[in-house]
Amino acid sequence: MMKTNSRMTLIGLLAIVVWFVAVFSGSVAKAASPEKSVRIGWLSPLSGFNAEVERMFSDGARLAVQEINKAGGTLGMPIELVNVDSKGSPQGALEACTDLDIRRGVKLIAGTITAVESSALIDYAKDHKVLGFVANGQDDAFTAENFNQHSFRTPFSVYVASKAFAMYVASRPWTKIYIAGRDDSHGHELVHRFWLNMRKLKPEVKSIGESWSSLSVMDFTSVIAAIAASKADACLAAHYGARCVSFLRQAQAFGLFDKMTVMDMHGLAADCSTALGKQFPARGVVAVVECPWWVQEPAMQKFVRAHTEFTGGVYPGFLSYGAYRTIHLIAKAIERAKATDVDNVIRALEGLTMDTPAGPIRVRNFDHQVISPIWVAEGAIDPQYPIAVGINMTKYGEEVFPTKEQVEAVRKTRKWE
Amino acid sequence: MDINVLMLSIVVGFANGMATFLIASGLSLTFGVMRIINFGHGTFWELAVYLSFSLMGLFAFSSNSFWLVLLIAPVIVAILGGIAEVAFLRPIYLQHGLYHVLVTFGIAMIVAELVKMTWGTNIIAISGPRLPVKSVSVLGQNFPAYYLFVVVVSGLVGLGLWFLLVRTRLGVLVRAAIDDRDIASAMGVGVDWMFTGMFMLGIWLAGLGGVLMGPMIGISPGMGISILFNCFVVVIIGGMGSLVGSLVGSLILGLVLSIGNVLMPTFYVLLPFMLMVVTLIARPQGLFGAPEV
Repeated sequence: MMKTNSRMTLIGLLAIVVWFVAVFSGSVAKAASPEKSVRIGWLSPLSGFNAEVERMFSDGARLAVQEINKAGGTLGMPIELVNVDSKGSPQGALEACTDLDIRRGVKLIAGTITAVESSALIDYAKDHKVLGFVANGQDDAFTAENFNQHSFRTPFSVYVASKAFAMYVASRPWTKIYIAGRDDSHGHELVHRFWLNMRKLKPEVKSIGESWSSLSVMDFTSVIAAIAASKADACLAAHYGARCVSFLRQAQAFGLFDKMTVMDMHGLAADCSTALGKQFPARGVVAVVECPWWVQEPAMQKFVRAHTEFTGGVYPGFLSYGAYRTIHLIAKAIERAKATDVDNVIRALEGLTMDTPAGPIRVRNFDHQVISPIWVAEGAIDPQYPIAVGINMTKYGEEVFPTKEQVEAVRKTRKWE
Repeated sequence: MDINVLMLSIVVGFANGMATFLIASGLSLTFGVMRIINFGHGTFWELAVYLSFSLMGLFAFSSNSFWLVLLIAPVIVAILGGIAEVAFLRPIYLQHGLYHVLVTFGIAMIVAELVKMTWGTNIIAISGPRLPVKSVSVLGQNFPAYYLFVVVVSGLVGLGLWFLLVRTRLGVLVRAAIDDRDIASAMGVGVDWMFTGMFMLGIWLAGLGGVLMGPMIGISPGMGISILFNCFVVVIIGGMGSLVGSLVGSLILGLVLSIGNVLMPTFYVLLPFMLMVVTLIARPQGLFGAPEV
């Protein structure tokens, strides 16, 4: 009996040693060859504010990683996306950056949805000399007054959207605009920049009323009643996500679209149009679009097929498209640099051009802003698709982005004038 | 102010007030009977909205799916609320009020996470019922028929609650417990089960409000917190535990926001806070609440 017990103990100990060696040797092997994959840190709000759109956002990044790895990776190595929760807050984003950089040794960091998370990312990038690539934050400050050499931004900024809207309004016989703003820095910036551009383009266009709604508001009926009563030609709104859905539904119920056009930056965003489906207002919504997925161009349709297959039927929106382009840009910069270290990747990113499903894009040297085509489009229902599409599109290019002189002036004065 | 603008603002404010009343009355009732501020009230509202989304899909074969959901979803949520009350609140009734706040906050977190796990994080939009007309003329203003329907349902439910609390024996017992639960208990009233019943009724009201508001809004996780804030404003203005207070508080909030939005559009977001502060200073128990003795 004693002998059997000893044998069993010995076998048990041996099993533990074998398991330990197997596991430990694996980690040693991993540690000894860190260049077997290119690790890109990915910050997204897995919890907290904006968690409802996290999947839509990160799926774009994951699709890009899948495409790059299928094509052989970058520098012959697969890309590994290391996803960390930014918790939808600046503190969460900062912790996530620290986790990626200090604990995991990841120096190429991208992602973030909101301006505050993005701000934390670019500040971290500056202080710790890592790459901070903003895949969605639209605050103008990232590329102007708070610019640093370690940060980049893929999507268009608030200034770009507001100038595109101003140019769109200038091309219409409208003179009376109602402002239905979102009461946060992003909403106020959009309106401020809109009037900045409007005054230069068509000074006779005036504001005839404004309302500001907090982020927690889901009932806009009192705002809509005020807009409807204002007899404006058009309304500039600044809502997104579930609040945009609420605003559009209530505006439709109160017949606002029979009276005027509502311009909402994110009106045709995939999260909003997917939720509404065929309930999307048949007319009266105008939005800024970076990824017109309904356009019958081969490159766009190839991307749409890949995106819908990857996501189980979700059409691409600005979030996933921003994430998708960001990862492709980083991979291309690594190829160009023939290195994965931060300094070489930054140098390779500057001036980099790349073809995308919506056309060629370019990274500007002086502000690290990605220049890409954008459209102002009217929302419409097309029986061919389950969600709203854009029609009567007006395309804009670099003319809606702030110029080098403007950016330099803002860096000096810290004011947009 | 243009008379048409004023009329539209009054109609909209009244409708918003009535929709809020339904949910706030549940919170007020729970506090009145149990002396518990239920921080989970908003998440049960949210649960009802999501549940109605799933049930609408389940009953899609029927042309009356919305009406079926309107009957079923609030009852399911009320049952879940009853289970939560028995499991988590009953053991701590004799504890300090801070425990109640912490436990109901914990319930809110659990329900919110369960909602996220079950329905995911995508934004959804729920279809409303098919009504015979799309809009109705009220005070010379075109008003969506569905919003009017919500006003009517809220009014009827309010009347039903008044009848229950004022005209029935159960109501007498509930009011006795509101006035002095120790004496009511000493007189043989089954306070424990009354608490459970009233908690369920409060959650049912939140659930009904959720199903009715579903077709008006875009839904995403965490919205229960926003609705809870409005409910707190209402019960602070109207008075905790007062049905009439909830009604008056809801209408004041709805009208102040609606008219304020036209008169002072830049500052109207401050109005609920200002109302709350003024009420707390001038009449801490609220307009219809009983003062603490």
